[in-house]
Amino acid sequence: MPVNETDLEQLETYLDDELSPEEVRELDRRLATDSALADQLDELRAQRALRVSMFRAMEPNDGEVESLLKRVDGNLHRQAHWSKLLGRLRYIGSAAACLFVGFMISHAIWPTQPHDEINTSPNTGSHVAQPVVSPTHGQIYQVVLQDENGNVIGVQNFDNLNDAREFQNDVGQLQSKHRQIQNGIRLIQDSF
Amino acid sequence: MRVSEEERPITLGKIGGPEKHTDPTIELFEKAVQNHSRRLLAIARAIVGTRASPEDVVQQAVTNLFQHRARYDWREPGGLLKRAVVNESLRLLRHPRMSMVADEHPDTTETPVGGMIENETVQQVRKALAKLPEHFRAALVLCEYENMSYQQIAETLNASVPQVKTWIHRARRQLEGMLKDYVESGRKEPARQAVEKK
Repeated sequence: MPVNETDLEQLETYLDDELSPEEVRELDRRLATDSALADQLDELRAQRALRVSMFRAMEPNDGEVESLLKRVDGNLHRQAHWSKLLGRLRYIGSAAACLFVGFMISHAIWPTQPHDEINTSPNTGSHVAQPVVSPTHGQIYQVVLQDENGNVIGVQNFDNLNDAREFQNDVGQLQSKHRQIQNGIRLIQDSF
Repeated sequence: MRVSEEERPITLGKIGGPEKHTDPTIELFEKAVQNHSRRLLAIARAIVGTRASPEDVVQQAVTNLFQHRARYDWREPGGLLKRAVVNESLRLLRHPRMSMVADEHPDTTETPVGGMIENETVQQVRKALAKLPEHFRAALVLCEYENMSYQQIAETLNASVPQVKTWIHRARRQLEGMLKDYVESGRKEPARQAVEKK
């Protein structure tokens, strides 16, 4: 009886060990009686053996495997190194981002504080005074406070000259300290 | 897997330096690569032939797995590694900028069946195998060389079992057709020599 395509497929499945026990029993029974089918099975076995020997001939030798492992090893070392490096960079990046966010938050909360200090420059004329002592009628001494443009911004009366001069000195010292502080703030701002 | 594998392990240097790994998956990964490298290279060679470098295929597949090693179970890594190599081989074959490589593995080595199979025959089978569609070839290699079941092949190639069965059957029939003339001439040759002797 000639072997058809279905038989061929069944024989191959048989060689692949994928038939159910029942199918194997049925096929064994047929093989015992059908010589054409048995010959075909032998032929398929021979072809398979040839292919398997070809696959085995493709197996690499020890040198090739070693060479491959060296390549893989080198590649994985590089991967591990970069992975470590990127991990560290991630930490640094996170820290930098936290600092930046903190800075932005502080800036958002106290946005005008530095400007207030800048605005207290002596050139605004808001509280710069030039005390001048001058005796007036009836032995009253006046200390006149003037701004840089000569405008009178305040007058303080004293009974005697010493008190008036003392006040004048105090105001002068106060102005001097005020200027020093303002210059200090400027210096700090310049350094940033 | 129907047949247990006997691999000759070759040492792989400790990844990330000689110190002990803090990540246990790295140690398992190393062992897996050492134990399966020979078969992985053979599978890649059988599938890509001379159309790409099998070493590149294995290296890329292993590197991909290493990058995502935490996702996988490395206690049974054979199937995983083979699947990665098969998929990488198929991906490379579909790559448009693929280039031919020299056959670095001419069949000069002895075959396991000794002198019974001539190198020329093996060469002919290899040539015929290279002409098969890539899925047919991959399915056949996994079936006959790796002795994987249809179910395992289907999982590896992301196909159905009937599809795999059809691919393997067609691959065999096409190989038979391609090698028919060669096999017949081989059969006639001893007969001709016998007649001449008489």
